[in-house]
Amino acid sequence: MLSDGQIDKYKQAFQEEAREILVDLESTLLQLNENRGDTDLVGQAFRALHTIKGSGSMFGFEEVAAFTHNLENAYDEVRNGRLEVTSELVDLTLAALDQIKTMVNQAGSPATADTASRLDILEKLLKLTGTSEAPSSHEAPGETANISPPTEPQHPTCDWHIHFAPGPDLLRNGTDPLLLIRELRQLGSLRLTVSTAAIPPLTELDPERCYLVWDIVLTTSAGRDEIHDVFIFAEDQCDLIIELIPSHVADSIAVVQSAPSEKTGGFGRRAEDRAAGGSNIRVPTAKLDQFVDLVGELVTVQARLSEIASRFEDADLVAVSEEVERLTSALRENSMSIRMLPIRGTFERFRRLVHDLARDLKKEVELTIEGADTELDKTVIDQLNDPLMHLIRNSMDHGIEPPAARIAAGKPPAATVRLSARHAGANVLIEVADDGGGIHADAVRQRAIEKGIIASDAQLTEAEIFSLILSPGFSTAKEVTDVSGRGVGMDVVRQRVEALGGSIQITSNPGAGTCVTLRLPLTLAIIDGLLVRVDEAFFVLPLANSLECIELTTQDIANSNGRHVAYVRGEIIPYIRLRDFFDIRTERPEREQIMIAETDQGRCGFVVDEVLGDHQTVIKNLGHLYKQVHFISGATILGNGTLALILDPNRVVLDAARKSAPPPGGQPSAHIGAKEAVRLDAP
Amino acid sequence: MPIELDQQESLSTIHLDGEVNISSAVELRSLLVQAVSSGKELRVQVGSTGELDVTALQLLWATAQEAKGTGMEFGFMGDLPEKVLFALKDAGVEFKMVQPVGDRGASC
Repeated sequence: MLSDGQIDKYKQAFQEEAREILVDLESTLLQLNENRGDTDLVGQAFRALHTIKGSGSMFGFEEVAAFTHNLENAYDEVRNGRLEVTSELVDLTLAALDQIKTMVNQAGSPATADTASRLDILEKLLKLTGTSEAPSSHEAPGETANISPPTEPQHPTCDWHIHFAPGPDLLRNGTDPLLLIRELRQLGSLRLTVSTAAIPPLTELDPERCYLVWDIVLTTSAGRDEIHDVFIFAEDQCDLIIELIPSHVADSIAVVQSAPSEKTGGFGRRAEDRAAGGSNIRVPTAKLDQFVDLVGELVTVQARLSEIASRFEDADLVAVSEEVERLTSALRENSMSIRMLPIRGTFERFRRLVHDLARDLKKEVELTIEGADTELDKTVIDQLNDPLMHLIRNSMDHGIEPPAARIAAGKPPAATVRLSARHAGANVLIEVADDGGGIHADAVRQRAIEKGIIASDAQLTEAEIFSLILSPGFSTAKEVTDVSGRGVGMDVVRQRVEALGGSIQITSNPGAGTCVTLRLPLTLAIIDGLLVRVDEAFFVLPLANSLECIELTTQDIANSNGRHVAYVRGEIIPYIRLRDFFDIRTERPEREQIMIAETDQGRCGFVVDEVLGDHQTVIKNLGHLYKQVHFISGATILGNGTLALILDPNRVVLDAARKSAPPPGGQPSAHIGAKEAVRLDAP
Repeated sequence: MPIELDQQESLSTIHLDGEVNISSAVELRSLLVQAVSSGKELRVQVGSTGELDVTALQLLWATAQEAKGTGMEFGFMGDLPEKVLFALKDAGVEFKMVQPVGDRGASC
């Protein structure tokens, strides 16, 4: 007898699995809407609904099972060729999925069942499938109608050979083969033989593994699909063969001669479906986070060990320290890779959004996805949903023109929204692009002046003008729509991206389209950093941004005529002295180092007393008190126990610019070029 | 308790009652091994509410083979509940697993 705790655990597992299935099913339906004759997609949809129904029933989600049963019937009609896929059916199914999602999420809590919506969906489904039986409008809350499909024409009675060999994990995963055989008995008369050859001696027998193998002859009028459906929950965990064998019915001979046998090899996986690697396990996120934290602590302790080993002239200690460093680095790489997930799941969710928005806005839009296998840290992915949703909504509402306007402009009536992701060093670039009307820089500039964000005589580059769109309350939309236009979304996008340590860039071509690029760190937990010192303070600059280190001599300072610039191979590089930035007033050394880094504003140098070298940096959050200190992305503990602040080079440049030259109008400019960002007063 | 081993001077009896399934399979195997190693005649009695799943049937089958190999007497005792009969039929080992013991039992 299962305890309440065990029951809750299984229910939770069903809820998680159901949510995943619903996401995939939504994607399948949207693809099916574009490819209505694709029988594979129909099959996928049917199987997904069948799984939800069956698992729901098994784990006590009877409402879910009953409601899904009707959808399953409808798609059974589709796959048997008795019902066509139409946009009406797809829309109805999508609406039903929303209901199922709600039921799955609400299980166990007081029902706020939207019974009226569900009955409405069922009624429409009935009309579509042509079933005469209508649901009663007097049903008690929580009850749903069961739709009986129209009586299907009888198949002739045939003999089927079924070879059923359970895999090693079938019993452990909760499947009882005897129940499957009992279900087969309900389809017709059954003769079976069992092989006990694989049962080992009692002392060697694994009691949780099934060793029996059955060969069954089933005489039934059921079709192959119906027989196969008995094993639908077990097909991944068994070797299953279902083949028609010659029967006494003369007009079945032609069917037999043309019917291929269906074999699934390798414990239920089709050869082409078999994964290259093997099995996966599901791990709670909290455990994964805890594991990564511990690895982070280990990295810190390893740094201390290295530091201590370097102080003692002991070859054995140094050798051990180096080995620990090697293993720690490998463990860190491994733990980081565990957190990395492809962005596919996030991208695919937006197919539904684009579909629904296009319908509501009466526009034709196709969503294309590139680089879906690009991997990011799970935490970054979790935070991306809202920003991307805002960007897509904005694109569809403001960027993309109605079909008639597009045709008048010589464009195809169907617009394209492109979601793409690719790696760029230690960052990932995510782009949301459209081929709509683009952004007019003049309109943006004018709006910014009206809002007091910039002065009327402010000189800005086009990129800087576009960046003004990210300011709070900024919107050039002539009217606020349900979709967008309140000017809230883009500011939220900026905040979320910057909270992740990322940045945004907007490019646009009036009449041709707009592209919003999010630059995000691959991981938030550990980075490769460059450790630097200013007096007794330590800082870390991200190694991914760092280009080179040069010496700043007094001669260089003299040659620059009071400007904070350095001449590097003919190029003028502005620099920020961290000593001045952090107001460290001790005497500076005669020779200083400039770390030249790539920033969003161009190349910029950061002047420090000493560059100490590479440092595996475990990022520690400074907490909400330092939330407004944007130029510090965190802190780390060094090997000697000292704290080092992790700098965000982009924000340091921006902050230095704000300190040096606040523009008239009271509002600091959001983005200014690197040259302007450096103080030009004499040192 | 769904499984109990009753050992007397020359006879061991495994009593199975309620659901005997994968959750009790390890315990059942342990008791069967213990019973077989005693070398005594072994009986299996299934209570009126007894239900056996495929894990139990496999273990009993393996025990039957062990008994046959050592010349030990093994078999079911008493009436088998309907659910057990169905399970034996579904598994296809209904008449192969039981041994005649005294007045009752089916051959294995």
